[in-house]
Amino acid sequence: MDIHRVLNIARISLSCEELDALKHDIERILSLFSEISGVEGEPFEYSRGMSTELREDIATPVPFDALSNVRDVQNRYIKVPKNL
Amino acid sequence: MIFMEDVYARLKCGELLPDENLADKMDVIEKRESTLNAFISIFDKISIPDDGILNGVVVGVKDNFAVRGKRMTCGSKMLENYVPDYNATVVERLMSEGALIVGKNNMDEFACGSSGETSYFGPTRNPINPDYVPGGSSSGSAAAVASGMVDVSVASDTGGSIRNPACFCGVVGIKPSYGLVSRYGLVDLAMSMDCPGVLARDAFGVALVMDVINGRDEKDQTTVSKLKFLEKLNSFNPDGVRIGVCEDFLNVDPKIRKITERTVGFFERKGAEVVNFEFSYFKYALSSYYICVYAEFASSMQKFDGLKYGYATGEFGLFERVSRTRAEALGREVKRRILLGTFVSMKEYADKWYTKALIARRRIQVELEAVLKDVDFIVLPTMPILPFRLGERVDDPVKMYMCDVLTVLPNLAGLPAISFPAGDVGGFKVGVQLVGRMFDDPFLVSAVRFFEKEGGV
Repeated sequence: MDIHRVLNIARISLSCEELDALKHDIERILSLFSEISGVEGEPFEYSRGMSTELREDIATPVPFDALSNVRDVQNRYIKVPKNL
Repeated sequence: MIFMEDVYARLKCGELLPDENLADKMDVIEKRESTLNAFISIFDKISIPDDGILNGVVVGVKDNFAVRGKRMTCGSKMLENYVPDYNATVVERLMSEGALIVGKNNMDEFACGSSGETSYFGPTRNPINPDYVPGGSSSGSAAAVASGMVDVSVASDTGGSIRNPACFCGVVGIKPSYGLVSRYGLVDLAMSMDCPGVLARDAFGVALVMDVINGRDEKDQTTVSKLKFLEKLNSFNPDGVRIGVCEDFLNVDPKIRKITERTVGFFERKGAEVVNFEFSYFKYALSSYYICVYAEFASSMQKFDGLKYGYATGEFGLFERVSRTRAEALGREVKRRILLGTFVSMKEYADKWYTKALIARRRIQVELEAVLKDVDFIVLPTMPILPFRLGERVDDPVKMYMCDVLTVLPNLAGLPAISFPAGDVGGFKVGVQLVGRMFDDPFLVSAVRFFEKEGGV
C-alpha cells in the first residue's frame, strides 16, 4: 500500500510516529480481513435497499451510493447553518 | 433497578409528577456523572409539557442526533462547538410526545468504537464497576439508563452500538429493522447500516419509545410505515415458535455460552421448538462489515474539512488547511477508518476489497433470510466476552473489532435485533440477542417481555 497516496486522497497529514503506528495497524487489519478475497457471487446493491426481494412495504430503496453521492448525503444529513 | 414500567405507571396515575421524576433523575446525574461521564451536555431550563405519551419520561439522546440550539459533538473535537439549527426526526417526535430530554450522551468518536473509550470528552465508565468499560459506541446512553440518570435513551446502532453497551451495562437495547426509524438529523457512520434505536431498563420502555419514534418520515426516503409495539407487547405465545441456534455463534466465553443455552432452554421449556442451523458465511461477517463501514465512513467524513463548519486550524493554503484540520481534530480510530476506507475504495483496489465485501454482505443477507424462513428468530450471545477493564483493548484495533463479531450480522442484512440481560457473571449482567425477520421488531420485543415476565432470569 502506498500510504502517502492514501493520505493524500484522504486529506490527512500525520506525524511520522502516528503514521508508523497507523500503517502497522492497517496492515494487521487488512491481513485479518484478507480471507474475504475468496468470496464469489453478486454484490450487495445499495439501490435495492435492505431486501433481496423488492417489497412494497419498503417505500423507497436506499437513495444513495456510498461512494459517488457524497454531496447529496451531505445535504441530506448535515444541514449547513445559513450564516456560514 | 427500578423498571420503566413502574415509573411510567406512577407517572400515568399521578403518583409521580413529571417535575418530580425530572428532579429524581437530576439528583442521580449530580451524584454519578462525575464518575461515569455519561453525558457530553446536560441541559438546563427543561420545560415540562402538559401532555403526550411520554409526558414526564426523562430521556437521554446520543450526541450524534441534532437537537436544535444544543451542541452536537459526535464525541469529537471536530464538532466540539457545532450547534445544529434543526431537530432530528426522532428528537422532534420525542418532544412532540412530552419527553423531557435532559442532555446529550457521551459516545465513541463518530461512533467509531466498541468500548466507550474513544470520545474526545473522555471515556464513559460502567455503572456496575467504574473500572470497566460500558461498551460502545452508545456508551453514555447505556450508562445513563443503567445508573438511573434517565428513564430511556435514544441512540444509534451500526454494528452493535446499542446492543453492545446494553449488554455490558445490563439493560435492554434494540436495533430496529433498517428503515423503521428515521435517520434524518443523525450524523452517519455508515449510512446503509445506521439505525436509530432505544435503550431502556425493560422491554416495556423499549416498546413505549419505539411506538413514538418509528414510522415513515418524508425527510428520510428509506423509512417505512409505522409498527405498533405496545399493542403487541404481551402477545408472545411460545407455542409453535421456532427458534434458531447456530453452534458457530456459541464459540464465546463459556459462562456466556451457558447463559445463552439457558435462555434457549427457557423458550424450549415454554413450548418453543429449537432448530439448529449452520451458517457458512459467518466467517466473512466481520470483514464484510468493517470494509463496508470503512468505505462509507471515509466517504461521509469528507465533509469535515474545516471549511464549512466544525474545527478549523490556522491560516494555511486550502489543501494544507484541510489536511491539518483533520489531523488535529480527529482521533486515531477515526483516522484509521478513513485511511482504510480510502484504500479499499480506491479504483485499483476496490475490486479486491470493497466489491468483495459487498459480495459477502449479499451472501450473508441471503443466508440469514433463508434461515429466518425456517425459524421465527435466532438466539445468540450479544457479546463474545465479558466487560473488560478500561485501557485493556483500546490500543489494539483487531482485538476491539473482534468484540463486534456477533452484533454485525443484523446490520449487514438490515434485520431487527434486541439484546436483553439474561444472566449474571461476577456482578455483571450478560446479554443475549434475538435476531428476527425484517419488520418483526414488535414480535422480538414481546419475546423479551415474555422472558422478563415468566422469570427467564
